[in-house]
Amino acid sequence: MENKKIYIESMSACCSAGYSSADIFKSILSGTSGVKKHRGYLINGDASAIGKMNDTISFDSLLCEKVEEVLVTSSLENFKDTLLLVGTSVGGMTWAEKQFIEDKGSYANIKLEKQSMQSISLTLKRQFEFKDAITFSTACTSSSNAMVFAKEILEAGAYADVLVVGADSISYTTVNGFNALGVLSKECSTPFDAERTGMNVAEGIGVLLLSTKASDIQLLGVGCSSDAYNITHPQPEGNGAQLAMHNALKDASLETEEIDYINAHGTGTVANDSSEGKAILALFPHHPYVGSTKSITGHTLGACGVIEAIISIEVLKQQMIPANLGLKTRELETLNTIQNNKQVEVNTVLSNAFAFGGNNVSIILQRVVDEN
Amino acid sequence: MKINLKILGLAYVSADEKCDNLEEKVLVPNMMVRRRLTRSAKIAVYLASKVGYTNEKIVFGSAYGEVQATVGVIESIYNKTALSPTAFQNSVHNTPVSYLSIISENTAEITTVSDLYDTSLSVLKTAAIKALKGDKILLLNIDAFLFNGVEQLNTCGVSQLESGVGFLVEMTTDEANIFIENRKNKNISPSLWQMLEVYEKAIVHKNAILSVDV
Repeated sequence: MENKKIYIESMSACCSAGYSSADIFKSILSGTSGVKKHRGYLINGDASAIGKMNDTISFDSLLCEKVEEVLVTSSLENFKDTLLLVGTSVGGMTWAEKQFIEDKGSYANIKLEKQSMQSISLTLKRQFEFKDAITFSTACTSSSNAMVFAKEILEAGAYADVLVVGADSISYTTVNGFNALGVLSKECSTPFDAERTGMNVAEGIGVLLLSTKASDIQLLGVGCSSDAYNITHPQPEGNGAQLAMHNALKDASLETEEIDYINAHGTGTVANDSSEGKAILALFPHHPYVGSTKSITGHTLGACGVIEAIISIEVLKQQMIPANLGLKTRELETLNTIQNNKQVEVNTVLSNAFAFGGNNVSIILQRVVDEN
Repeated sequence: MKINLKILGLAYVSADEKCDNLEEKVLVPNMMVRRRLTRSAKIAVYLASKVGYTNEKIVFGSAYGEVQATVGVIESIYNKTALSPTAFQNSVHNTPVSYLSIISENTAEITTVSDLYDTSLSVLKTAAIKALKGDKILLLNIDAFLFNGVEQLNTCGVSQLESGVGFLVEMTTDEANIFIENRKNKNISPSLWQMLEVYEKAIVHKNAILSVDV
């Protein structure tokens, strides 16, 4: 394996909190949540607090728009030699649900190409030409696993550029499914708060162009693990989360104290935040800043890995640690979550994503101060 | 870029409707866990047991995912009946290998790819890159899609509604003797074609080495 450095060349994102990376981070710093109450998703007729984007532009149009933005702000003329990696947990399910309901419970008009996980890359391939494409679907770590693979394939020298797209739309399945599991909050989530009431399902698109060409942000390390514990509940002491973070540190050749900020998975569920918080406290005795931005963006499911990598990049670029919106009383007193934005020197950020089945991914991003 | 993979173990199952003799009671003695397993999870556990799996990293591929669980969820939504939390938690694409990791207490990296009819190629490419670090990798490619209404979706006329292929591989610098020619098999879901082709070629080799073009 060649020892190549992997950089972020260009990025773009949208979610209920904003239609660009800059706008999303502005919402985060101003504490303006994109999570709102909507009716029409829960089958029991109740309103649900979800992160829904504006309906005036279709999800597919936004998807192509975000990828186009990355192309025009990159050094590439096209994606003909680029590998497309998609991370999605919903794929074309939102379309399939609507079709199924419209057809009064018939599968006759469900097109597999439109229903499948591959639907995201098929949509993009209609507008852009890529050399190849692979879709990762590991629930809420889908786009994180795509980033892991992007780093590996770039290091192997098989490509010079990889486009990673995390994309998930709001579906009846996810809103009702998380409600059935009893983890859907009726209000905007308050990650790491002692009185937190659950998570908010959300939608979003994140696009990152990773490259071997030097830039101001490096993807320094990636780490994965499995809890081997339960399909939905994380291991209570955060053993799997610790292992993923440990593996990312090892991949980055960093010591724990070199992490300045941890962008936590921080869904706002009782089980996740307790487990993740314990894992962070066990692995990072120097108490780095810890935060979750899901109270602003909602939980964008399979897209959250890329979207939160982009938020982490904004933290590095703006040297600003965002406050945890809604946090009043810390459940874990020594977890260094903050209630006001803080301008500090931030060189290295670790970002977590965890998923059903105990699938854990951590990535480490670093500001490149001086390549020489 | 070409990567050669030595095939250390291989297994294949398929059936018109449901694969028999998946040895669930032996492989998953805990009844509570066994009862929660999806069809694809049972196939995953079985294939892993046949290829010499000892808690390696896993690359899993499925085109259609957990069809029965997904259908259960969407029909509950349509009929406005109480949605089963078990159906929802089992509806994600990585469910089979998550159960496998729980049963085998495997804390290693597991990833899942899903590219409809290109799924088996995606499994092979992903595993080839992951193998470059020197790890042995378990590859699983499974699709199980028996449900009420399957005939409306099975436009390809696939006759084997459950099928799965598994390999245990490691990277090698030895010369390859298996090359993918994209053989078709109308009885099997196209999402397994390349993995099945490799299985059919590897089963007759004493020292099967696959060339993967990434």
